[in-house]
Parts: sequence; structure tokens; C-alpha cells
Amino acid sequence: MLELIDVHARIGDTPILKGVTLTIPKGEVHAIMGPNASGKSTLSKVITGHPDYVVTSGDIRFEGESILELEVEERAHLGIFMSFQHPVEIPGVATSVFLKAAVNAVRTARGEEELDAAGFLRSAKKNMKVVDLPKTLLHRSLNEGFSGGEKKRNEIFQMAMLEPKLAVLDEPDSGLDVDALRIVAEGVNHLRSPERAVMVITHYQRLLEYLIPDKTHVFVDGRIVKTGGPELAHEVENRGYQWVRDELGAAARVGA
Amino acid sequence: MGRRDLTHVDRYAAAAAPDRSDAVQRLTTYGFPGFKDEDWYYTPTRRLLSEPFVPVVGTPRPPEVELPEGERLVFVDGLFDEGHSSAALAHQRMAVAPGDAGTLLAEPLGFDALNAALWRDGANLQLTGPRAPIHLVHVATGDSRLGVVRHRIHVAAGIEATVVEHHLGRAGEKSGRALTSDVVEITLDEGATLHHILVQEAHAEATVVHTVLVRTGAQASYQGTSVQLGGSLARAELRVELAGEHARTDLAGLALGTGSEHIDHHVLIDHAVPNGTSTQSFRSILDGTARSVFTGKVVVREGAMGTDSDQSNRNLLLSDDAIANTRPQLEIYADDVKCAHGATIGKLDDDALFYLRQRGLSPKQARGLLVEAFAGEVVATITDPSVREAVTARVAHHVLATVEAQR
Repeated sequence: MLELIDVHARIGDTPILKGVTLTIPKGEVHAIMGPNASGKSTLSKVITGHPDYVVTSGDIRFEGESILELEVEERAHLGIFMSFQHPVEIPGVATSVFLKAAVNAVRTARGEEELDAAGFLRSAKKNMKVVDLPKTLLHRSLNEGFSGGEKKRNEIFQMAMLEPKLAVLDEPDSGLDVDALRIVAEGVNHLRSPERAVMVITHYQRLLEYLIPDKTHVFVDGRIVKTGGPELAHEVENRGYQWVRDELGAAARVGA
Repeated sequence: MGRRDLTHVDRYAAAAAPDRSDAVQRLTTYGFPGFKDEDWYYTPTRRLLSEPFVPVVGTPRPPEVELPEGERLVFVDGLFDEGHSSAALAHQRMAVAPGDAGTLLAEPLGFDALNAALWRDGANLQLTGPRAPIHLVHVATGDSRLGVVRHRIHVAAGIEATVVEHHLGRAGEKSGRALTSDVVEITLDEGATLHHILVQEAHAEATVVHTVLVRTGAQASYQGTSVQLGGSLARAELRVELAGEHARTDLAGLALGTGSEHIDHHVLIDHAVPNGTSTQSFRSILDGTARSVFTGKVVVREGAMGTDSDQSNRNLLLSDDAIANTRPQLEIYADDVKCAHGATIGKLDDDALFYLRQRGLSPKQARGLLVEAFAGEVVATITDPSVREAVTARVAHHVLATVEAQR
């Protein structure tokens, strides 16, 4: 579904990704764990096509085709969804108005018929239940005045509405208490499917107790330095990122 | 009581026509405002006045525009158009000039003097009972025509009313240079409320100078919303005197300018007595080399204790060459008052655009949604649902045209 091939990227003059190679087949959930400022959020921006980030070498392929030349919305139309670490507050734009426009933009791009108001509402009500959001939220301005938990759940709700093939979840757990975390994780679990790939970026192992990944990648200084199964998350949690760095250092010395 | 009985017809006799020589003299002596006039500093009139405008008399031209639904009085180039006006309202006009007795326009200068010298017709709304919104519709047909109207609105004690003023122009090739001078004098009795909505979309070559003069009684409320959708030069002056205690005024304005359009909101709120409340919320959205000016002057007179005044001006620039001028002016001669003001100028939020595009919206859709939302907070101040819906649709139309025209 998603392949990153030796991707280097920078923002301004600062190189952030320094050769990332990663494949996520459909049906799998991959966790990206890394310390702060390791570049793991940049990974999500580069996959979704954020205009501030420049891919300087390497390739990103989605379903076998390079997407580097595609605009943000074109990638979204292909079925790439990102849940934001900090969902943007947009005063004056009702959640329902925004989301209906988004759902229909994606449907139109896929050659499907647009949803009418009733169809949209039916689908919205069903999907809001998945993350335990009240219907009234549809009438409120997008993310404005939402609690941290509501914002994160709203992201997963949008994912459910847009039915992406690839979901990139950028720290869906940050700022959440354990109850809210469980709701978000269960929401994502509900959306796991053999046709869908998920990349979940997190700082902590806590989320991965509820959202068990097929693979775990440890991300340090702009690269994936270690890949393993779900147990790797526990090891990182217990031993800290310094352990990975030390191991890397030792390997580098041996290599030299 | 029948509907007709709810309003009081007030027609002025020809004998009461005022001596206009004073206004004419003031106009010829002092002329039109120029860049040396503080109140017109950012709104140059020289280009506007470099070619003459022609006052019109006789039969009005056909409007040839879509007129708003509802009870209405229609004025084409300043001339009353009986055929397109509601019969029930046709008599509520100042068909012949009233005396200057009770006028709020004392010692007029510039465009006000032009209005005082040349106005021939206008509405005279005596609102003494509840009724549906009344629409005053102005159409400018181009060909350098000068339309001059004067309205009076009086709302009786305890009554709540809605008056919508529209400034329209013919579309497309039929549009053209035109100047409309519209002066409205509003008096609110004790406890009266007027919702006054101005919707100006005369078109890119039209000039509209709109002056609204308000005097409120005690506990009265003037709710003004000015929606200025383009114009070669559009100026809305809102001068509100809170002359009775515990009166309030809430003013909101939107300026949407593209190309080289120029839109000017000029506010003067006079807290003449204690315990008045005033709020101002003005926004502009500018593309191309368009310019907006907002002047918000609040005067708190000696002894006007307990005054509460708030002002905000937010400007959204869609291009590098658009200009927004903002000028808060506070003159406070009383103690124990609260006066706050704030202004911002910015562009569309890149993070918001990325968020919307990530969800599949095109850049134009995303910009349209954000611009409409920014404008929407002004339109939301309109309380009458049918009027709000109609204005929302007009704003959306202009926002879409603006966003579509962007590269």
C-alpha cells in the first residue's frame, strides 16, 4: 500500500528525514516510535504532501505509483488520510458543513455519487457512535472550543467518514487521559480492515497496549533504526530511547 | 388594527420645502472633502470627482435588476419607482421635501451638503407597530447618473422593527459609473429597537456614499449591520448618538473588496449620557489592490459615567497589494467608563488550508470556506432569519467570485 524508498526531506535548509525506507502492506498497522524532535511528525507531513516540506531524494509510492508530484488534496482523493496531532480550530465553519464538503470532494474524485444531506447525516450519526461523540458537535465550529479528547476523537470520526486506504495517525494519544486514549484506540481498531493500512506515530508505548501494531519501528534522528514486532514497543518503553542510541553507537563503532 | 393603521403616513406639503440655498452655499464654499480632511484622509475623492455626475429628474428608468422580496420602496437613480414598490408603503415617502425641523443633519458639509441641496425623494417610515422587514431599494443605472435620496425612520416607544437598505447596480455591460448619495435620519423613542441592515452591491464602477444618523432615546437600541460588497468607492458613515440613558448600539460591518475597489466604514458613537453601551465589530476581506478604511470614533461626554464601549476591527488580506487602514479614536471626558479596542491584520491561516486540503477540499474550496466563515461572523449579527439567509447568499456569491478569480 505505502512504500517509502530512501526518502530524504528538508524544511527550509534543515534536513529532517535522512533516508527513510519503509513498507506498509494493506491490512497492517505499523507503529512509529521515536523521541521528540526525531522527525517522526515530518514523516506524516511528507506522506500527505505538506507544501513546506521538500523531498530532496528518494520516492514515496502509494499502491505502486509515485505520489511525490501530487498535491495535498490529490493524495487525499487517492485515500490518504492524516489525523493531526494538533487539529486546527476553524471558527465559523460548522463541522457538518466542512465534513460534508470533504466527503463529497473525495467521493467525486473517486467517481462516486455525492451524499445528500440526509445520507450524510445518517452516515455521520453512525460513525460518531464509534468514538462516542455527541451529535451536537456537528453544528459546532470545527474544533473550536473542543476539549483535547474531543479533537482527537473528531479526527477518528473524520477518518471513519472518509474511509481512507491509508491512515497516518500523528500522535493520536498526545494530551489524552487513559479513558480518552482507550476510546481513540478502540475507534481505530474498529476501522482496521484487510483493505486498510495504518501508520500510527507515537512517543509512548501506552497507546500500543490498546492498538496492537503488526510492526514497530524505532525512529531516531530522521531514520528508522530498529524494526520489530509489538514487543519492541515494550522494550523501548522499559529501556528508553538512549538504549537504542547506545546500541546504534556500538554498531557504528563495530562498523568502523 | 389593520396593517395600514400600524404606520403613520407623513407627507410634507410643497409649501414646507426648505430653503436649500444654505446647503448649496456650504457646498460651493467648502467643496468636497480632499486629502487634507482628516475624516477622508485615506479615501481620496479626486479621481471620483474628476468627471461630472448628472442629477436626474422625470420618470425613473426600469431597474433591470433582481429586486429583493418583501415589502419595499424602490428608488432608481434617486427617483421613486412606484411600479416596483409595494402599494401599502407607497405613501410613506417624503415625496416633497420636509422642512429641516428636527433634522439630525445640522450644518452639512461635502457629500452631506450635496444631499441636502439635491435630494428629492425618500422614505418616511413611521414605525408604530410590529410588521415584517421593510426594504428600501436603491438602483444605480450608470451613465454617470447622480442619485440622491433622503430617508427618515422613526420607531415609536417599545417597538422593534427591521429595515433593510439595498444598493444595487445593473449587471455586466449595463453597469457603469454612478454616484448615489443616501442620507438616513433615524430617531428611536424610549425602549425602541431598530435592526438596520445595509447591503451594498452596486458594482465595481459605482460610488455610494451612505450616511446614517441615529439618535436614541432611553433604553433604545440601534442594531446596525453594514455589508459592503465591492464598489469603486463605497463609504458608509454610521453616526449614533446615545442620547437617553441605558441605550445601546451594536454595529457590525463587512467590507469585501477586489480589483481596485475602495470601501470605507466611518463610525462615530457619541455617548452623550450615562450608562450607554456600544459595540463595534468590523471586518474586511481584500484581494487585488483593494483598500478598506475603518475609522471607529467613540466620544464619551463629560458626565457619561457607566459607559461601556468595545471595538474590534479584523482584516483579512488575500493578496500582497491589498491595504487595510484601521483607525480607532477614543475621546473620553468622563470617569468610570470601560472602553476597549483591538485591531488585527492577517492572511488566511496556512495550517487551516493544509488541514482542509488534507481532507480533500481543493485550494479554492478551502479558501472559500475560510473566507466565508470570516465574513459569516458579521452576517450572523442579523437577527431576522429570512434577511440573514438572503444576505448570507449574497455574501457567498461574492466570496465565490473573489476566490474563483484568484490564481
